[in-house]
Amino acid sequence: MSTLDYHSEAVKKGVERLKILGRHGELLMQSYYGVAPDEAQLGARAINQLMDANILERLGEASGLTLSDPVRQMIVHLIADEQRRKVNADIGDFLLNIRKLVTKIYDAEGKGNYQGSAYWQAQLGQEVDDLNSRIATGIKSLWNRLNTDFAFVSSVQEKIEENEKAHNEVLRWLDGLKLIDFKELIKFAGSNGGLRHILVRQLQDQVSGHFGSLREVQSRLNELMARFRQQQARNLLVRGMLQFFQDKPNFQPSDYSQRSHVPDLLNQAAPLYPSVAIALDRQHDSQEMQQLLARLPARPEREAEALSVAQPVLAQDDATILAKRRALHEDVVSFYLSVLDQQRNQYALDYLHASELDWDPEIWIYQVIADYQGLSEAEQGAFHLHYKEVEAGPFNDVRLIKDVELQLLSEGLS
Amino acid sequence: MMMQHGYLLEQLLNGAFVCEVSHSEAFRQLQNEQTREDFDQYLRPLNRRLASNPEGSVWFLAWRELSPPLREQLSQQFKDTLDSLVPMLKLLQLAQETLGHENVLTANDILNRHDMAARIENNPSLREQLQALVQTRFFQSQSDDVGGQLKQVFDRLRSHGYLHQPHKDRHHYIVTGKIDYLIDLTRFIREEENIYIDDELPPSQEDLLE
Repeated sequence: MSTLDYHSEAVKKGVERLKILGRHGELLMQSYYGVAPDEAQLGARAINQLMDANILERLGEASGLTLSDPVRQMIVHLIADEQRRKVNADIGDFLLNIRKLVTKIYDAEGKGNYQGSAYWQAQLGQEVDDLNSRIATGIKSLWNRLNTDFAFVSSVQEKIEENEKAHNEVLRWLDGLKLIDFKELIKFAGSNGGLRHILVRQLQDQVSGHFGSLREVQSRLNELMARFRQQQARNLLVRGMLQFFQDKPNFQPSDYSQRSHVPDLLNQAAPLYPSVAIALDRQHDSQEMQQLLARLPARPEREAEALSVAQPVLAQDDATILAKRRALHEDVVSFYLSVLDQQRNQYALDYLHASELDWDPEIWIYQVIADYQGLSEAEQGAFHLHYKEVEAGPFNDVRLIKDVELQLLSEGLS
Repeated sequence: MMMQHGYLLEQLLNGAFVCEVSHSEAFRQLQNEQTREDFDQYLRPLNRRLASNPEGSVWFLAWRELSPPLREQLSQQFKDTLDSLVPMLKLLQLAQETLGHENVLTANDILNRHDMAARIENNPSLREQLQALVQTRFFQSQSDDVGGQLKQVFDRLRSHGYLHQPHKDRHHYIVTGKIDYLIDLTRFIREEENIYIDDELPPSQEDLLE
């Protein structure tokens, strides 16, 4: 709005013409209700202004001044009764009036009374406008209620009742509109252009528009009603079931999982965590792999925390693991005893193979070292462990232990 | 053809409940019947298939064929869900009363944790309800103050997929479609066990205050 040029020709003209509308308000309303303006009293200058502004128009040389269509439409909207909630869809009355007016128009024309005919035609136009505005207002009021979810009442029950009322209103309008028989109206209009315009073109357009709007309102009302009913059922369910569980704290439902047909609600598959890894042997991916590696964030120093939340080993597994560990320890002790008995050095892996034990070589070596470190100082003095190491790679100084040799020191166990 | 659905597939296999709030794009994909058939085809060797609640507002994976061990797993799962049912229903009631809502929480409702904490803080009856709630096994919190207790409740709700937090550093949460699943399950139990619910329930505390 701030960019609007208040001095432009269009703005000036608009303001001027709105002022003309205001200045002649009374005359225009009279004209709306079918009283032709007194041209002599109005004066030629005012008439020209009103006609230039397309407020009044003269349909033929001999006929009087009438409201132009846009102004008539505007007045219809301005005087529509927005408070009118009680829709009286009395379309039957409307049709009766139309028939009467059409008869009057033809009577007047038959007698050559064209001024009379024009007057009744204006009346007919108003009758159609009035019906139109009643329906439009009714539909607008329905939309207002719909769009606010019937906020003017508070409980769901009241909302459901209001929705039912609104629904009946729609049905009354739809039934009423169905009474309008356009074949009959076309016959009324005959070859009279004015009547044809009002009764066929204008009314038919409007009625088909209203049908569309009413159907839309109807489907929205149905949707809303379904939602209200669902909400009401939910509220009741939550409150009721909570009450029930409080009254019967030991209630146990049957085990639905054992039924021949288990409903989907109770059939939830166990989670499955797919794990993936980079295929390091795919040479042509090496570029991407390097980029991925470069993008890796520095590892946060939260190892200790991560450990504390690790899943505890399941109880039933404990026993088997302990038994295995004990067996491993006993086999290593046998290895130490064998060195003592035979009084000679031995490689851990040689002993493993010779004894046909099926421990993983890495675990075996690890346990041999661990048991050595677990010996008392005096016992440790009897042995010496030689580490047989290799470098991890030409550019990597990490030394890997390939095997250990247990040497019995000459002093032996003291 | 399933490549484009990789993310959704992974979510479902992980045991996620897919709804409009939690996975809007994925949920939209699932509205297509052909996509759902492709999924079922793909999941067949894993003995899984797509399943939804009756209204189709939330999707998850179900077993295709049930064997005795799988039935045992479902049975255990149902027991766990039952343990959470009463605390969850209590939570729904607490939220409804705290917010002064006419209706039970439903998908798409927005909850502001700080706002709720302030309201509960100022109302002894709501404080008592929250206190009782965090003493249940499902929500248990060691915290003494309303803020800490409510944080624990919200964390639990989020980790169980009932709440979606669009921004990690903000305090508003959106209720997901999984709440529909819980309500449907409650309804199922009620119908199966022929539990009678009186339409004219005793008035809630709020009604008494008015």
